[in-house]
Amino acid sequence: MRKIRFTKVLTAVDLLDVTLHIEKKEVRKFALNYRAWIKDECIPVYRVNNFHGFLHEQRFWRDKRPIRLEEDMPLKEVVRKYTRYIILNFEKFKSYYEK
Amino acid sequence: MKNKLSGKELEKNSRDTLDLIEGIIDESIEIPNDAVIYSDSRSITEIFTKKRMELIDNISENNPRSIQQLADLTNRKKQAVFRDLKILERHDLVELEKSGRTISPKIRKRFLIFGLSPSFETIRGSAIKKDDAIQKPGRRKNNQSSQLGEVMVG
Repeated sequence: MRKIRFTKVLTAVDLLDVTLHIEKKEVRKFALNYRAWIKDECIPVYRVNNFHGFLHEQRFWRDKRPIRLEEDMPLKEVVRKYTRYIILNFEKFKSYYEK
Repeated sequence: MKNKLSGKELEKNSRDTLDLIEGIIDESIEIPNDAVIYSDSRSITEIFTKKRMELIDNISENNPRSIQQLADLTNRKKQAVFRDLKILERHDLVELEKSGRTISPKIRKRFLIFGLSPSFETIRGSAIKKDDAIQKPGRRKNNQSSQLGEVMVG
């Protein structure tokens, strides 16, 4: 099992942490964690992962509660879907958090 | 700092990241673990100013024990150095270790990766080997030229 973690810089203050556990070119586990520097503090804003046995997201501007997600597609596609979702929406997520 | 991205920039950012992830999954791209990856020129130029790169070089080479010492090494004011270090700290590039009243800056990341192509799609196939990425940044596979620039700190 290959385990890789990297941080993709979205802007100077917005970061996307990507964790992938890959086996035979298939994603087994993943985590996407979007965090932002707000008022000199690094804040987790949105997270989606399938660790702990089920696919779930956390919308930190509301609360830390994991929200179960149902996706009927291979994990690789789930990673693609939510990566795109985060990158196209992170500014909106952050604005909710700041409210 | 201007942070708001246009729709076009967001799309590009998304495309670059998806191509990178896909390349990692299908093993056509290898990156060092725990790397920080930049693909848009705006954030690169916002973060890596000449003066901040000088700070990184100085921390790496001289291992200063305090911010004042680093300020002396770079002929800058302590306050300005501290401000720049806080920005580098945001990106996990440096760590500010507190010991009593003294703060000493340390390098945290060994690798930064700058994606220089319009999309990572164009570099897929030119794998970067974990151990020799820095020594051979332009390593080629399948006669494709690598457009992935890398800078090592620490």
